[in-house]
Amino acid sequence: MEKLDVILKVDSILKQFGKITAVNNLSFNINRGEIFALLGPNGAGKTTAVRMLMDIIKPDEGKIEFYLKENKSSHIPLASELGYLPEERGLYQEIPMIKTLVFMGTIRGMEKKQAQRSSEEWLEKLELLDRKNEKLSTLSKGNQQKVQFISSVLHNPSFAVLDEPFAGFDPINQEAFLTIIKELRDKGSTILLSAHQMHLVERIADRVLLLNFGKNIAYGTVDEIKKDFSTGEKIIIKFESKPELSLLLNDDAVEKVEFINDTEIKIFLKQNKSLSGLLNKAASNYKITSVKTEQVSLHDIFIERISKDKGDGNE
Amino acid sequence: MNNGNISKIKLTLEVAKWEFNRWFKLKDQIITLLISASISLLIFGGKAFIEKFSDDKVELIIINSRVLPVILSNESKIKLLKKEFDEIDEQKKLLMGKEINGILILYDVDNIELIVNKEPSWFGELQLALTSAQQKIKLEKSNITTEQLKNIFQQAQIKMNYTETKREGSSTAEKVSAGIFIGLMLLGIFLGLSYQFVAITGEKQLRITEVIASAISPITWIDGKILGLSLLSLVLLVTFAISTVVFILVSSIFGSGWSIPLSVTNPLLIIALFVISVSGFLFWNTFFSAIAATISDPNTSARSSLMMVPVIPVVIAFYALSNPDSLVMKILSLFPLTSSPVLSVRLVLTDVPFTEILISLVLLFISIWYLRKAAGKIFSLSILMYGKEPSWKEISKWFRESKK
Repeated sequence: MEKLDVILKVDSILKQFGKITAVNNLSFNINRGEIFALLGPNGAGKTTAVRMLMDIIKPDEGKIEFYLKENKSSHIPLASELGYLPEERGLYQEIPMIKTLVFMGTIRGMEKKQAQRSSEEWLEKLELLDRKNEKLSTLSKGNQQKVQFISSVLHNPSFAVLDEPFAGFDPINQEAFLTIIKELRDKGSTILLSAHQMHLVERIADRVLLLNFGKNIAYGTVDEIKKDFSTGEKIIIKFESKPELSLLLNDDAVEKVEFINDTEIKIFLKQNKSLSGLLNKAASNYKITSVKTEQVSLHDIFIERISKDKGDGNE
Repeated sequence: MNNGNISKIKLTLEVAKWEFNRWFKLKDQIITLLISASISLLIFGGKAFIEKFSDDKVELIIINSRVLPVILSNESKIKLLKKEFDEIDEQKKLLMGKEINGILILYDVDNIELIVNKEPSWFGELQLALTSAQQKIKLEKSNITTEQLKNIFQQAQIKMNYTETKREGSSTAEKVSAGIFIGLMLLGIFLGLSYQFVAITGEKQLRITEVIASAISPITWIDGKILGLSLLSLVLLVTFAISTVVFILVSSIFGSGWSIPLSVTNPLLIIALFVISVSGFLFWNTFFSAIAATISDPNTSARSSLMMVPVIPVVIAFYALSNPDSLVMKILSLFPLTSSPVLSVRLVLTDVPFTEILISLVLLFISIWYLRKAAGKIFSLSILMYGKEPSWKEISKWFRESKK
């Protein structure tokens, strides 16, 4: 019997397409009721990993075990227990959206009436109920995305995979969907999401897995990953004139320096190093206009880790 | 994908219903029937109407009518008015004033003159009547009776005696019916293939495949598609068949002389043709669902031309019209690639032993079963391939794997 808080256990999965290793010996667990973010650059193997979880393709090696029912041993999940919003997505354009949603609910195990009721509730929530009999092609891209989202969760799945759920939305709708995803989690669904909007992921994800070249390069809560990140604080200094970078790079406290523009630079500090020496050096050579400190973001970690990780030549 | 307590049959039927409803438009079917009836009404009813209410009788003056006994049918528009030579000038004036339509002057049996204002539409009918009258007079002069002459020109009489079947030779109407049936079958197959192509390649292009593949197994999906679109082909075919019957019935009301041969209305034959048509549609739809799944863009893919493959068995079926009982046709009516059209034609034209029908259907169903398994394998591996089509080598590998 597995630990009860684990809903999905992925053990050393590997998938190759010809000479390319898309997913390389990947292991991770997802806990019941959490929002788990799968991150990585394009081609990192996220979609392949997700397709294996959804049983669309089979892993060449390794095991995927679901524990969707509490106090039960691992089992093959039912279609009705899973929700899937794929990255490669679309719906029938020339059919009234309510018909498509009812069909999607039916093939996920819902009775027709139940699917109709659930579809209407979701359409009302997303302010589309009065347009339910319109063809999907008549909707804007954002509204089509909403319908696509509904099709993946209308059957109230225990485990939902949302690949790029914020894509195609304006900032207001992105915020709205942040709330909707949290509500789904609060109602008992476990969510695996993959997204490129790091600032949103950081706000919503309980745990994160960073993937590159099909391998795990960072895994844990956002705080744990930040703690493990080699740099500490981040400061942004604005000078009156363009500074000489070598002067700052030679300082012991500095991990990395990036120009934001000619007179503004971003400095990543090494962990547990003092700012005072660096600021004194900078102030004695240049006139400083402003200084501000920032926490290292998931975005920074993502960029840093991916740029450092060159893979192991598996292609 | 595991669908738990929901039976595969229920899911397959859900997909079949979805596919059928996606493409079936009741309004279009009603319009097809109405158009068929309207065209028949327009062509044959219009012709009858024009003939009934159009121009009045043609008044033709015949001078010296004693020379030839001109006999016209009761339905003829031409009305012959007998006059003599001394009245010619007066009649010419009437002709100029368009009060009569022509003057026929019989100088002698072989010397006839027709005076008209313009080329007459009734010339053919008049010429036929004059020829007949001339022949009658010439026969009387040569002392040959009509029977003797008929006997000379009669075709050789051959008494037909069939050893293979008890059935009489096929009538022209039966051959035409069989030809129409082949045409309808070809239409049904092509309609099914077109919908199959549009449905599958459309779903690939709209990126719907992954959403559905995560909910149901590819084999359930393809089974539902094949079932739904085959049913759609059948319904469209029935609509066209009914349209053809409506066309013939409406035309016969207005005297086209067309009718439906009694042998074609035999319920057993209709049931047999129905089963064979459904099997044929299932076979070809299964074959093409696998091909369609490998196509990324139907506008540029060379594989779209494979849609023409079903033309070959249908063309072969046309050869069966002239010789339905030949050994070649008997073999082809058992061979799954050609059996559905060839057997259909043979059933309309000749008596096919029950065992032959049974063997043909069993072989066809076995082929459909294995083809379905192969199509499911090819479909499941191809539907998620965007932008790249699997090679024939890959397809043949998947085909081999499906048999294991």
